This record gives sequence, C-alpha cells and structure tokens, in this order.
Amino acid sequence: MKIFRIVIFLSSIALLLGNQACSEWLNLLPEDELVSDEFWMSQEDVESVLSNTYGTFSGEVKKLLLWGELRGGLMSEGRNIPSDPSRILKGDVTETNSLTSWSALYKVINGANQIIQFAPSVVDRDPSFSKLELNQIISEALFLRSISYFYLVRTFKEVPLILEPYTSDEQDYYPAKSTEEDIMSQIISDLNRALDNAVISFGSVEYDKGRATRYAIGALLADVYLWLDDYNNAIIHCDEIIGSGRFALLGAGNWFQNFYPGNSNSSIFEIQFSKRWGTTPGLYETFSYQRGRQYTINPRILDIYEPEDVRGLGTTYSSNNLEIWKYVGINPEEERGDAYNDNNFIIYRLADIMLMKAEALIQLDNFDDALSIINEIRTKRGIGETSMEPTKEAFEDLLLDERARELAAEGKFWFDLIRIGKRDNYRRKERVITALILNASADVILSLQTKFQDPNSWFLPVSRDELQINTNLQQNPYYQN
Amino acid sequence: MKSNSFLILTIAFLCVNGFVDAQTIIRGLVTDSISGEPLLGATVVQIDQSNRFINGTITDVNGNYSIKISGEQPTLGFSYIGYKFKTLEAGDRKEIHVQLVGQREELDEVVVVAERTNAGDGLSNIAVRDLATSVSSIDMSDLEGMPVASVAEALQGRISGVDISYTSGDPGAGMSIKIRGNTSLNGNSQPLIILDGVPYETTIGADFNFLDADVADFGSLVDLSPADIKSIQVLKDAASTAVWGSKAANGVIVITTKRGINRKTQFVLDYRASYVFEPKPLPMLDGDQYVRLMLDSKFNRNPTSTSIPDEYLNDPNSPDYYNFNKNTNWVEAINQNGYTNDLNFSVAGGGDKARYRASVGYYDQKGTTIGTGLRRISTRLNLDYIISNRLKLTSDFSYTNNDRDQNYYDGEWDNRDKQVRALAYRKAPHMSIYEYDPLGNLTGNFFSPVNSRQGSGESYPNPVALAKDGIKNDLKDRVLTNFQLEFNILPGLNYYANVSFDIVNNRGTKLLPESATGVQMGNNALNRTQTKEDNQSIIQTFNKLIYNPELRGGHDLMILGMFSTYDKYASQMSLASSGIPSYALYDPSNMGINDQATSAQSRIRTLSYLLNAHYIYRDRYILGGGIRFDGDSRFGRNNRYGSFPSLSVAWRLSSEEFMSSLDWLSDFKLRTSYGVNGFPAQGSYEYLAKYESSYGYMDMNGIRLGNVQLNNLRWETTTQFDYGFDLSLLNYKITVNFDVYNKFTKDIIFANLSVPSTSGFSTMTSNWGEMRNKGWEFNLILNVVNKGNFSFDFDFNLSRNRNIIEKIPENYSNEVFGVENGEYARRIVEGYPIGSFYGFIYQGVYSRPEDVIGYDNEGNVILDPATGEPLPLMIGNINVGAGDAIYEDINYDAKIDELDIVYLGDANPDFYGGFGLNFRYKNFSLNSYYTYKIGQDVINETRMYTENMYSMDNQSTAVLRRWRKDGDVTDIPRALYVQGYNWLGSDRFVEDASFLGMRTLTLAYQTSAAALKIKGISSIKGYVTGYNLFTLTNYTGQDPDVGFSGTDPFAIGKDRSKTPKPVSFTLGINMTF
Repeated sequence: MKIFRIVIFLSSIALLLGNQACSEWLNLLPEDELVSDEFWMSQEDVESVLSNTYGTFSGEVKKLLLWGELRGGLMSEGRNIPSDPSRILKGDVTETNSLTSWSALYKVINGANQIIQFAPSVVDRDPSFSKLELNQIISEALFLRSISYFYLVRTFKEVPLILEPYTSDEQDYYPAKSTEEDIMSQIISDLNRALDNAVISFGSVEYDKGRATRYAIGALLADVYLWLDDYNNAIIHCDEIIGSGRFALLGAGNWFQNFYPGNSNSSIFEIQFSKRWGTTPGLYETFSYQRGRQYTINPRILDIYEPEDVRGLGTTYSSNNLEIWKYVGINPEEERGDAYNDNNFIIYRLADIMLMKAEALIQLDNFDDALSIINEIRTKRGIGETSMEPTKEAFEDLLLDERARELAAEGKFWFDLIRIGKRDNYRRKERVITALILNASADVILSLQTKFQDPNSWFLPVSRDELQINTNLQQNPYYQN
Repeated sequence: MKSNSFLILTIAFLCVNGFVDAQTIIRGLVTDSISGEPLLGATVVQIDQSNRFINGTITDVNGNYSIKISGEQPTLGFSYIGYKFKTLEAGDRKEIHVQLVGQREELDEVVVVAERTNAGDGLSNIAVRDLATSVSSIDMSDLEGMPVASVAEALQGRISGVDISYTSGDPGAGMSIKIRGNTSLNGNSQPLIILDGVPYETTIGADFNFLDADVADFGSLVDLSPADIKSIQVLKDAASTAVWGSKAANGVIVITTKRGINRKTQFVLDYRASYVFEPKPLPMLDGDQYVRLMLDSKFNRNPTSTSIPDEYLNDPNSPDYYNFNKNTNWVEAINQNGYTNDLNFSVAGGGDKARYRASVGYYDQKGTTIGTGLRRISTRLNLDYIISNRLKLTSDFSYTNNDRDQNYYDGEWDNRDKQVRALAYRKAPHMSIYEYDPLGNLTGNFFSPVNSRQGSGESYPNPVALAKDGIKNDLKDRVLTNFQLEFNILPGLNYYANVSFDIVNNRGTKLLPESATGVQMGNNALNRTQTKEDNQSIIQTFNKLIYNPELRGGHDLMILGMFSTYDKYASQMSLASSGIPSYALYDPSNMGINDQATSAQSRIRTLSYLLNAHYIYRDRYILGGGIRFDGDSRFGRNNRYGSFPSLSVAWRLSSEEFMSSLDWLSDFKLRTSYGVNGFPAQGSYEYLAKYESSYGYMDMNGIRLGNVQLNNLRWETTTQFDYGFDLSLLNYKITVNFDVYNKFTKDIIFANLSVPSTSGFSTMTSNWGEMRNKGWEFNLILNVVNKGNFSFDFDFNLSRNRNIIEKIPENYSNEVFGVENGEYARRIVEGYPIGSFYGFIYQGVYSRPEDVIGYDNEGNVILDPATGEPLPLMIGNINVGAGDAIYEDINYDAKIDELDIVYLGDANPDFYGGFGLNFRYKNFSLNSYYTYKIGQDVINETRMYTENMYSMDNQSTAVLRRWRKDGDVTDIPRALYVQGYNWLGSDRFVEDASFLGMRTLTLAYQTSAAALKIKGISSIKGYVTGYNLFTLTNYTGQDPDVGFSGTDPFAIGKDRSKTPKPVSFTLGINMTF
C-alpha cells in the first residue's frame, strides 16, 4: 500500500512535468486586439485598414499645406506662428526643423502596402468579397501610396521607395534613398493600374469627393505627368476630367462654396472632415485671428487681385487682419467659429486641372488654347479676359499669377514654382528665388539669393532624427556639410 | 488546468486510509501529577506509528474517559492545555490511569524548536551559513520599535548593496529598491519578492499604460504588516537568484513570516503612535515681491509696453481688491501635521500536531499634505498541521484592506505641473485662498477665478481647494492564500506541493472639483471624475521534490527538482465623466458629459523547470549548482524558453583541521559564484503583431497594425560573477562580509527603440545594448562590549556600484533635442552610466551689453567677416542680451547649440550604505541608525522651475538676487516672460546630493520577566523613536534622497518636489502575555 501511494505521487508528478500541452499553455492571445493570423479574413478587415490609411493621410493636411505653400511667398507669418515654420518661411531651413518629418506619410504608405499585399488573399476567405471590389479597394490604396510619394518627391526630391508592408522585425528597416526617376515611374505605373479599376462613383457626395474616384486618380496622374514634363499625357488626363461632365466651375457669386460648405460641384478630391465624425483639420484654428493667427496672406502680393475679382478681399483674405479667409469664414462677414471648424481640405478641383492643362499647352507653345482656358476662368471670377504677347515666359507668368489668385494658400503654389522653375534646365530659376525671399528679413536677402541659386536648396533636408537612426540614408545634397 | 489535476490527485491520495479491524475499548482517569485532581476535558487519542491521530475523545467532568481503539499494540496520547503531552503503549491493558505533568514550572526555560530556520534562498531549506552564495540576512527583531509602514522602509541602509530611496513622503507611496545597480533600461529595477516561498506580485496592472498607469502604486511594497515578518534575506548574486529564474534579474528579497510554534499560547500587542512634521518648505516670494517680478519680466520682454494689469494695481476701488493683493503662502496652506496609529495584535501557539499564528493589524496615517492618508486593516493566519510523521499541511491566509487618499492629479503621476504640492509652489501668492466680496467680507468659498492673470483656473487650480475637495482615492483589497502539502516519500525524499492564489481588487476614484478650477457649466473640466476598477488574480503552483539523504563520512547532499506554473490575469475598466453639476455627486454615472469608458485585459503565463544540487563535505567544501528553464508567454515560439544556469563554490577554512588551533577564528569562508538571470519582455502579448482599433475616415471605422511581429525578440540576460568572503573573529565578536561582483547584461530589451519611420512605425521593442555593473560591498558587525549590564555594538555597511553602458547599436538614437529651456539632452553614451546628465555649462550672467561676445579658442573676439564687428552671440535664432545666462561656448563659434552640450554628472551614488549604533544598559537600550550616499548628482528641477522667471509661476526668494540693470553682477539672470534661453538644461541645476541622514533614534525600556509583578504579562517594552531627525547635506532642495520611479530612464535623479520624507516622533509599546 505504501508502494501504491508512492506510485500515485510519482505518476502525478510525471503527468504534470511531462504534459505536452505545456507549450500550448503558453500560447496566449489578446482579447481586445486581433493578432495578424486572425486578421485579413473579411472585406470589412480590408476596408477598416483602408479607412485608417485615409485617416492617417487626413491627419497630415496641415503639413501638406505648409509644404506646398510656406516657401511660395503667398503667406506671411502671423502673431502665433510656431518657430519651425517661421524659420522656413524666412529662409532658414535646417535638418532639425520638425517640418522635415515624413513619418506620417510613410504610415500611409505602410497601410497602403498592407492592403496591396494582403487584400488579394481575403477574396479566397470571404465569399462575399468579389474580385471587382478587391480591385477597387486596391486602386484606392495605390492612389494613397502614389499621392504620398508624390508629396515626398516634391518636398524632398529623393526618398526611400518602400513597396512591401512592414509586419515583422525580421525585415530590413534601414533602406537607402531611391532616385526620383524610380519613384516617379513607380507612381505612374501604380496610378495607371489604379485607373483601370477605379470607381466612377461611390454613391454619395462625401465619398465621391473624399475617396479616390477615377477622377481623383486622373487628376493626380495629370499632376504627375506635368511634373515630369510629359505634357501630352497630362492633357489627356485633364481632358478626361474636364470632359466628364461631372464637374463645373462655380459662378462668380458661388466661388466661396468651394470652401464653405465645401464638396462643391467643382471639387474632384478633398479630404473630408466633419463634426458628425468628430474630426477637424485644425485649419480654422491655424488661420483665425481670434485663435492667434499663425499665418496671414502676404500683404506684398495683394496687388495680384483686381478689385472686382471674387477671389480677393472677403474670400481669399479678410480686410483688416489679412486672415486667410478661405479657412476662416463661412461667408465674407461670418467666421466659422468652433461650430464650423471642420473645414475640408481640397487637393484637386476643376480650376486647378484646367490650369494644369493650360500649363501643358503653354509648354507645347499652344498659347491660344491656353489663353482661352485662362480667360474662361477669369470670366467666371468676375474679371475680364486678358491677352498676352505669345511668348512662353509671358504666358508662364500669366499662368502663375492665375494659379496664385485661384489657389492661394491651398498648398499648391510652391510646388508650381519648382515645377516651372526646374523646366528647361532651370530657365525660370529667378522666378523661384524671387518668391523664396519674399518673407526673408532685409539683412539676409542678399545671402539667401546666393544660397537659393542651388536648386537643391529648394527641397527640404532629411530630418536629422531619420539620419541618425538610419545610417544608410544620405542627407540631401544641399544640406551635406 | 495544471493546478486542478494536481488537486484531484492530492485529494485521491488523502482518501487512501488505513484498514480498520477488530475494535476494543480502553477506559481510565486523567489527573494532575501534583494535586491529583482529575482533569476535565483532557484529550485522549490513539496514535499510529507515523504519529497520526486515529481516534480520539475527551475526559468527562470527573476526568474519566473511554476510547475505542483498533489494531494490535495501540499507542495512546494524552494532552491538556498547560500540560506536557504524554504517550503510552497500551499493550493488552483495558484500563489506563494517567497523571499529566504541568508545564508551569518550566516556563522560564526557553522553548527551542528543532527546525531549520533561515531558509537561505526561499526555496530549499539550506541555512544561510551553508550557502556558497552572497546572501544578506536581517532578523526583524532588530527592527522592532521602528515606526515603519513597510518592509522597504525598514530595510533602508541596513544591507550592503541595496539602494533604497523614497519616491515621495506621502502616505503609502512606494520606495525604489535597487540591488547592485540598474541592470536594465526597462525602468523596472525592483527586485523580486518571495513571500513564504511564493513570488509576490508587487505591481498591479503593469501592463496597462493607458489612462494613468500609476507608478507610485508600486506602493507599500508588500501589503504586509512589518510586525508579521520574522526574517528577510536579500539574495544578491546570480547563483542564488538563478533558482528564481527570469524574474530575479534585479535580485531577490526573501521574506519569511512568523509562524506558530509548539508552546503555550502567546499574545503580543504592539502599538505605536507617531506625530509627523513636514520639513521647512522652500522660501517663496510673497505677493508684493511676486507682483514686482511679474512687472519686471513683462517689461523685459516688451520694454515699450507701459500698461499694468489690474490685478497688479493696488487699487482699492477694484471689485477684486480683496481677492488680490494678498501674501498667501500656498505651500504652508496645504501642509498639515500628520500622525500615524499602528496597532498589531497577534496570537501564536500550538501543540505537537497543530501550530498557528494569527494576527490582526490596523494602520492609520494622515499625511503631511492636506488630503493624504492611508488606512490599512490586515489579518493573517498561518496554520501548520502535522497529519502524520510523513504528511504535513501548511496553509496561510491573509487579507489586506488598503484605503489610500492622495491629492488629485491630472494624467501621469510624474506630471510636474499637476500635483498639489507642485501647484502650491507655482500658484501666484498675491491671490487669496478664500474669496472676498467687493466689501472685503469672506464669502465662504474658495477663490478660484475662471481666469486670472496667471492663467485659467483649469491650469492653475486653487491648491487648497484641490487638496481639500479633490479626490484621489484607492480602495484596495488583497487576498493571498497559500496551501502546501509536504509528504515524506522515503527517508530523505520529500515532496512538496503548493497552490497559491493572489487576488487584488482596486477601486480608484478621482475628482477634479469645480471649487478648485472655477470653471463653468459646459467646460470639460467641470467636476471631472473618473472611477477605475483593477482586478488581478494570480495562480501559482509548485511541485517540488527534495532529496536529502543521510550520508555518512561527512557528506551532505541535497538535490531539488521543481516544476512550477504562474498564471496572471488582469483586467481594468474605467469610466470617466465631466460636467457633473455638483462635485458631491462625483460618481461618473451621474449624468455627465464627455463620458469615456475604457477597458483592457491581459494574461501572462510562465512555466518553469528547475534542477538544483547542493553538496557539502565536512562543513569545509560547499558546491552548489543548478539550471532553470523558464517558458514565458510573452515571447514567440522560437525564443520562448530561457535557460539560467548557476554554479557556486565555497571553502570554509575555519573548519579545516590545520586551522582548528586558531581559537580567535570563529568562521572563515571563501566563496565564488556564477549565475545567469533573464528578464522577459514587458506587456502581455508583446511579440505578436496586433491589429487594433484606431481612427478611421469619415464614417468608416479604422483598424491598423499596431506593431510588427517580434520574431527576434529574446530574453534579456544578466550574467554575474561574485567573489567574496565571510569572516568572524573572537567568538563572533567581529564579523566581516566582503563581496566583489561583476554583472553583465546583454540583449537589453528596450521598449521604445526608435526605428526609421520609413517602416510606418516610429518605435519598436527590441533587444539591444550591453551594460555592466561592477562593484563591491563591505559589511561589518562589531560587538564592542557585552558585559552583564552593558553592551554596545556597531554595524556598518559600505557599497560601491559602477554602472557602465558598454554597447549601443550603431544607429541608435533616442536623443530628442532642440535647444529648449528646461531640457537636458536625452543621451545614452557608451562608457557612461545610465542616469547621466548632459547639458550646457552655466557661467553666470552677462553684466553689460558689451560683454555679450563670442571668443575663439585663443581668446580672441570672433568678428563677423563681412562687417568686422564682433559677431553677436546667438542661442537658437535669437541674440543674447545683458542679464541673460552665460553658457560655455565649447566649440568657439559664438553660437550656443547642441554641440556645446557636455556630460554634467550622473545620478548614481559613488558610495552608499548605512551604519547603526546600539547601546544597552540594564533594561534600557538606545539604538540609532544612519544612512548615507556619497557622490550622487541630482537635477534640482524644483529649483529650476522656481528660479527660471519665465512664466507667471511663483518663484523662490533666490530670484530677489536677479539681474535688473546693466552692471549688476549676480548669478541669477533677468526675468524674461516666455522668451530667451535663460534656463537651458545646464549644470546650474545639477547638484551634488551627497548626504548623511539619521533615520532613527530609539530609546527603549524592557522589563525583565522576573521583575514583572503583573500576573499574565511576560514582557513589556516601551520606546520612543525619532525619525529622520537630521540630514547633513549641501543639497539645496528639500530632500537629497531622490528616488527613481517610473519607466523613463531619463527621469532618474530628477527632484520634482514630491512630498519630502517627514520628521516624526513615535511612542510605542509592545506587550507579550
């Protein structure tokens, strides 16, 4: 009997120790999150990641605006401008400036890369998820990836080109930069692929303006081709939008509807914000005088607006405080206030596309057609038609002025300047430099003029944080000591 | 799962019982051996060969009994309270009369219980003396009469190599404990606590970093009354901690509680009352001085402005005249004198079969800041039942109820701005505490304007209102049980089975009252309230086999095998709300706005296998070694198991025959050891790639990949070598212990290692870096005199630890840097210790505008090549002016930037330790204890924020020396409202915080047993203790003993005006009867 007891004990111990279930016992899964093995099962999973990727992009609108506008000379500093944008505005650009951070756009890229890589396998798991729906979602992801890279190229010129999603710590986290050519050709092939599967309409105005429809993708493609001086392709894509019959220029009295209430007839792609979803872009707070007004319209450029131009006083800017009224008002008199601080941020609207086409026509020496586009817009804006001696330079200046009037402070003008300035071996370099020194203080203007002769200085440096972590990254040429 | 199958088997075993055969009856009478009187109610039992009770009865009023017995050759046992237990072979007798011998005449004899005490490593039963590893031991009877609330407080300075400091002087705040330096950057350097053989969880909900993870809740380290503790061992080298495997990388503290012993029931009553006084606060500006400073700083910023804000105009016609123009000392207004009441009562005793100790304690403390306090009720029952010679059951049960009040704070515990004490230092002194009407009559309300010149009521609440009306309460229940069955399988072979449960419930309540902020309806801060429930349950099982055979020829061998499991489940739920109309209705269910509900759960499991052996030959040669495997659910399959070997060797020279002639040598042991410990990843499901709910776009919900899969994540390991000796001379009159150690940590797990953002992530958990801790420890105990009436002994310990970061990844960067006021560069540099400070060198104040020029390395003025004029000295993008701070221009470029940052010192003390002096004369004893730290640097953040003159915060009286006009020569720059760089992180605020402090001074009186005339009382001890009576230091802050709490390694050594540890006086009485 004693032996019996001992046997029971020893066998019980053996049972406990030798239990093969032990290794399973240590496999624990969280209750409030999904591990990657359980994810990518349904269409809803794919859509949620897409939605988050859009959401990440929407969180960056203010930075995108500053990247595209700060150095263009149309804005000046306001009372509460933070120090980093103030430095850039005045021509002091360094790698420690927080505006050199590109991290959020790579979050967008990583989100898009995940959808592009993992969504196809979901079709097999979710019977209700059709191949068509898959391709539509992938076209949106390709759009988001492309627009992010396009912003990065226009801002930094060369950045690492990442096309695989990061999901494990075994991957290479230390990429080098890719060339501008490689990135741009990737963008073009991605966008062409996206265009083939793109949606014409999502069925609601908000979705049609706020998500990547065929027209949003086409607008981006036109923009990209224009950047690459591929004028014929740019015109093809502009024409598709202009001729679609879905968009119309707003009349003189309605021009402000672009900004309030937004999602106007002329809008092609604008990032959506709404109190209903609890999202605001912070644009009202940035530009309102009452909230400290970080930026004003540059008083030195006000003469581009003729008195009868509907895009001037009371719409683009306010009279006494020079607020950028596009983001502050709901009409010439009333401010948005906290109740209406959910401005959308417009990325493409019809006037922009028309002017893109005009720009391409100018470069193709088709001044007549370009002029008729410009005059069509001018007429709608309440100012008369104009004419110009048919030289490239004169027309380029006319076009730039028209873009400034139409799109001031919409995050466009600085990119326009670089695009035009770098053409034909920097034929219009001086035009860029003139804008760059508009906000500089008098004592440094001379030295800045010399500095900005190097077109590499038009691009931002890679953030020092990134350089320190990733030793495979090279600083952009102008900023290497 | 595991524990269930174990329980069933155990129960099955218990059910196997002896066979019952023929029964007979024995009768008899039980009487007192002296008086011959019959004993009523005496116990009569039949016992089998293994001493197990088979049957029993009690005697009747006449002392007669009759008992049914079974089996051949029965044995009877007789017992009665106060009498010795007696056994008899019954043989064939049917009538047995017994006389029992009383124990009274033997009361003076000390009852010695033959037990192996001081289990060295908390796991096996090897005495400390026989270990080859570095273990420090402390007997709690040394600490009797100290007014301490926790174990950590009691241990401070008493054990070499153990660095304990305060995190705050508030009731219930934690202590930070470091054994042999920081081994990790995980922020958690706290050692593992083993309570009666079971690892004891010292954190609650450590996995949750959302909401306000409260590091101070590390709290009263062990929710255990110090009166219940018998002894504490500190395991310092890895050979001794390796048996505890992965959790023991920071060292192990083994706590053994008191148990019942075989003797007459003993009652102990312990009561102490303390009075607690706050040390003198830093001198701050009064209202008038403050107003002058504010005007100065305003005009320095904008010299053309001439307007004076209404608040500062001493205008009796203003409606708020009586509310401003005050001289309020806010810090004094939130101070109070505290007290402590601590009552412990225990009863212990037992017989041959059963032993028990039960205790109940009540602790009540009022802190020195208004609104802080701690009430704790604790009960503990330790029961041992010897079922038979071979089977023993041990069960421990404890329950603690902690009710802790703190001041309301917003967000993180370390948030400098939001704590009441910090607020009191900042709050404008020209404002009144209570509100006056325009006629100068008190309204009975707190004066909390929605807005004042200083800022909104939300950012500058009324500190007194916040302390009085604000709530931060934690109500914590904790139940801890441990059942152990010990079975002697064969001679020398024992099996132990343990199951232990640890259940914690915590309900936290917070309220930011409207009376402090003054905010109106509709504001989110109106009566903001939060209720939070944390629940945690831990189930641990241990199955242990110990083989300890009787060997001849001086051999002594112990082999231990163990399998253990650990399963911790924690959950948290929180409900927050604001906008509740009245702060009396502070429960968040009361119709607030902005309701927020959050919840989280986590589970962690580990499995461990241990094989350990210990061999002694003739008390001379000691060899120990073992290996432990830990599996942890926090790692992926490939790296889940860690192996932790250990080896230790010792040679006791004093037992060698050739040494036996040396009478003066009592004990001399040389030892060396090697061992490895591991540190697991933090967070429950760290290695898994997880998709989490996140923001979406428009009306679409969003999910994102929260982190990548960590396939490479592996154990952080620490390898330690230890060399030491233990020496006792002159019949243990002198004892010296000395240890040298070298501790090397590699694969440090860093939770927020920056990765290139091109990955879509900014940080990742990853193994990197190597760190080394080298040091030595010296411990001395001297029994100087011990003659009859008088004794004097002295103990002293001294430790040195040097921490060095040996390797960081090539592309590591955690430095977030811009030239910013108040910021020290967050740098980790190879060759320097963790806790190092990097910043600028402060050289005083520019007296005149013409002084503000830069010099090159030859001392020549740097000229602008264009103009030939001296180049203006720049910081950031602004020019420096007269009255501004001078920083050393290390690279001679007339620009103060990050290239001018240098190493300024570090927070690790060069030497630390403590010493005690104990005198005894007849029945009086006088004990004192001192702790010291030498060579530790501290960033005096409190001073930084009270001398910067940058905001509208109140400042210390040091700013009265500030620069005001050209030509002033002073060490304090000019006042400049939110402009300039006059308080960059520099050596100006780094101070040497070396100190020597008296911890306790106790005068005690104990009666001898013979002198006691009172019947029933065997001893009385009364004492008076003074606590923290003085501290010698050059440090200008309130308390140089700055603790490190929190998870940010860059916060080490920053003094953030926590409540300093108070001065207190205690009156105590200890009675045994």
